Amino acid sequence: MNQREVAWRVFAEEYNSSPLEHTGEGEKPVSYIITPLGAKINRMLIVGVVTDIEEIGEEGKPRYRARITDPTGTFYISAGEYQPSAALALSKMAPPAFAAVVGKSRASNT
Amino acid sequence: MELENLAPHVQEIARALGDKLSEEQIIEELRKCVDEYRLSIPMAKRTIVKRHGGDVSALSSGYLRKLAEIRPNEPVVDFVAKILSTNTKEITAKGEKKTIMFGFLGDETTSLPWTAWDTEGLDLQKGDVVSVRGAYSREYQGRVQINFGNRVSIKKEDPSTIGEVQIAQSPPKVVTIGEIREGMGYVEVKGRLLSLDSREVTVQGQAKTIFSGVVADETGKVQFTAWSDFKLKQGEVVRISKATVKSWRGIPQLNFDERAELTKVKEKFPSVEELQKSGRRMISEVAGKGGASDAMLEGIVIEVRDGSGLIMRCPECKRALQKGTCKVHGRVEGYPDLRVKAILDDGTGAVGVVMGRELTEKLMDTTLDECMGKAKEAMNFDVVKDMIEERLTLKGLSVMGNVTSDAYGLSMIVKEAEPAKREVKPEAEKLLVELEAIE
Repeated sequence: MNQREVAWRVFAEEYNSSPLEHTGEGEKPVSYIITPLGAKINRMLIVGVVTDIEEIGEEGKPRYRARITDPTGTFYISAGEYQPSAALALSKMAPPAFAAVVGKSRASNT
Repeated sequence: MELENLAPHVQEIARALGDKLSEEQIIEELRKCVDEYRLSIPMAKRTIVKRHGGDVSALSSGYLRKLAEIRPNEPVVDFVAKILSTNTKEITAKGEKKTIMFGFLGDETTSLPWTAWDTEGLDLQKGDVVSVRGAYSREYQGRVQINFGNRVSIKKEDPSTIGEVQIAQSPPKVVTIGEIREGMGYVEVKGRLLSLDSREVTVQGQAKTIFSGVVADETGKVQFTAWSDFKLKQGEVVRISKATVKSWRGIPQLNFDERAELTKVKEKFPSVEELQKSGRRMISEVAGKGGASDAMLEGIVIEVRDGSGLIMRCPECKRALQKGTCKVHGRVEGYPDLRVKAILDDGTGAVGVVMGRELTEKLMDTTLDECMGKAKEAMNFDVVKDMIEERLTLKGLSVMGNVTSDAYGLSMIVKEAEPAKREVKPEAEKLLVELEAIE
């Protein structure tokens, strides 16, 4: 049976201090973030306050980046043409606002 | 073990060894093997004979055991038994197709399941009495199983040596309803009958009334089918012994017939009402079982899927139309319907939920006609899906229904749904208490 990835509930501090990224093999490798408490996260569900929304898309290709802060730290999220409903929601939202977000984890080296 | 019980074995060893050991030495060695090393008698005999250079094959002729004496995981077992049933099955082992045979065999002490892994040249019929040498035993679902491997030799004997043997069953396993899984063999459960229906079926050309319903205890509910009339009454508490478990699309179901024992239980038991609203379950728990009947789940809608909202259905077969076309009946004049297909996630797992018109109307606080009006106004069906998305996405939802599983994971056809009511403060306090208890 194909198990759907669970949406992990996680606080910003735990997520942001995750030391490991694990990438599977094969045609469609699945990438996971391993948190210090041992969660193996691909899909996640977070809740916090949207403090900043930035439009970074090009003409005809909307893309939004936003900061979501919870009492332990900050998440950075982004939504573009492949996440139309999330992008639409961000376009209509005025910070500060409470938000729940479901999405895929991604590590970046910035 | 008592000395006299050892005597035949000692003689057998002596025969196999010639005069290599004295009787006293054999007894001493045998005692050591059996009492100290806890070897089974046949193993002990083989060990001794082998160590002193005797002929092991001379051994097995003497010591035939009754089936009831056979323990699991014995490398060599010899016995005489009657074949009670034979079946064949195609399996794929290590990428190769092969045929195996299995069934029951028995003697006057008990009956056991058997499996032959190599059926070439094997001719076993129901009713044959065979003497078997060099089989081995395993344990499967708490029961000794006889295996015929490549070292076995099977000889037919006079069938009259063993008379009628019934297929004896191991005692049923006493379980709670929440523990019921497929492949348990006979089970015994105690529960209250929450619902009961009867219907007529035809079994092997004969009309028969069967009874089905739901039986529950504090740990869960399970659908059952009774293949004979036990004069069951809705609401009563019964103990059902020798029922079997079969799965339907991942949901374990209980089956029993006239071989089962049914007793009415007169003791304190949760009422129908208490059992009906059996508590919320974690999705991981349901996933572990592969499904559940009448499960209550609560989670967050993390995705409203395509195919939700206002759809057109085929008037012939009720399938949802794709661009006005039915998969089976081609281009048809469809009729409108409302539904929600969504993913519900509770942090332990995810399940696809499907809700029909009635539930969609209730959750959306709207009607099909109203949705039709909105869609016409916007000249677009998608507005209804957008409304649903807006209303449900990332909101808590509590659902009840049967959970089934297939290649794409778990799914539930929802019978009841309502927005999840969360009381944050008491829940947070409860969590805190639990965490402190762990410290």
